[in-house]
Amino acid sequence: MGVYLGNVGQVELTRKSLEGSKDSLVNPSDVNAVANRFSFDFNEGFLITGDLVELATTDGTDLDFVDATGWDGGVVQTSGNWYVYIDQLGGVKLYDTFANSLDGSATGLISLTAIARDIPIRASIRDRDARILACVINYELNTNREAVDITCLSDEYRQQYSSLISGSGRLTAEWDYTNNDGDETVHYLMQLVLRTEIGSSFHAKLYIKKQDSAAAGGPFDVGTQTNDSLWWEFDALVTGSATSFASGQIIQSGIEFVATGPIRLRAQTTPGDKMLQETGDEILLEQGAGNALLLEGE
Amino acid sequence: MAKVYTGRDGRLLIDGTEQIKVTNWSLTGSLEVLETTTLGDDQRSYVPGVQEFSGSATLLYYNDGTGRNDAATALKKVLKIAGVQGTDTVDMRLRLVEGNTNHDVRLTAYITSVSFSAGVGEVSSAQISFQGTGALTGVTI
Repeated sequence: MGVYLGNVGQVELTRKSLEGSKDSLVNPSDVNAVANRFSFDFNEGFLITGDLVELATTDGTDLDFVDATGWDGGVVQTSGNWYVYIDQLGGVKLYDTFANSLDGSATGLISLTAIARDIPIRASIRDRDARILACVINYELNTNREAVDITCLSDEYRQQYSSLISGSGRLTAEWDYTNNDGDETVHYLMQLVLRTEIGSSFHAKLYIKKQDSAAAGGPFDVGTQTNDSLWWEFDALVTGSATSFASGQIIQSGIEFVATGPIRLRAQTTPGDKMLQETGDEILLEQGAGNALLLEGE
Repeated sequence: MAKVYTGRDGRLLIDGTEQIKVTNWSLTGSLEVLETTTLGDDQRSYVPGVQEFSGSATLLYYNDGTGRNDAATALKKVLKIAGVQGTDTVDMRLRLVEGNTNHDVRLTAYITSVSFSAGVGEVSSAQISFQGTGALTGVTI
């Protein structure tokens, strides 16, 4: 039997919102075309820097405060997806990539155009990109199955009936808040617990063994097992966060979460077959380079 | 031999059929007393009046492999469209078993109330209450 260390695990999360979207209004005075910054009425914390947000008009008109250069094909449409950077005053800047949005600089900033009318919009968080959570020190997941006592008169042994499954856990990571090679930082989860309007949900993959990892000892077939990966997958709500400060110590943040919905323990122990184009090239997904369309396993 | 009775020894029979998946039953017997104390008496005195028997039971809402559902049968004693008739009594036997010996209280009763529910993380069960009518038809406790 192989011996595995925690080093082969990792945490991957996808930003999402289980609680819906936000309708609001963009006024002409809300758009600052010089600073490429706009705002609309939303509670503090509704959007978090790095969120992929779908902005759509609700009256069918074009979303024309976003300059044509910010659209694929250069054509303004009624809805689009961008990453957001939220400044200290709650203003919104749109970016082309997650990494650029975390930086909040001029790189990748989407240009805005002044408008002369009110535009009703709907803002939704899109769950598309799965990212590694950086600098995780440890994580713990507890899954529980409730049992209901159905012991009846004349029974000699207690009888139980399996009932609901629930999960909860915690993780600890070294605190950081800046762009880290496209990884998420634990600072995002700390912000998530404070988000009021659309909840604090995220999609998690907690890896027991990630790809390209090996056992620390014992039998391990490098040829067939190295690329194996096993993970728990579920939606979760952040229920608490705590950050500890001590002189001379690395700042660490602890996050507590509860799972909502099904909890799956998945395994990939065979390499996935990729669907190819006629040219032999892979069919890439929106998630970015390296994410190719796979065939369903036989 | 000394014997302590527990739920393991309990049974409930309705119309001669042992009910399946019963989680509890209870029986209360009471006697009205009529006071006969008169002036000059130093102590109160009574004569027996009318007896009353009532009880309750809980059955899991459970289908066995043959489709038998005793909880549903009991619920239908009250949950019926045609209304309850005078003949809608049941023969109830509340039993404690000791080996081959049955300790029974037997009575004719009306099912007077039923309730059942479904709750998250709970097993659905039917609670029934019954009211005895007439004298007990058997006591072997």
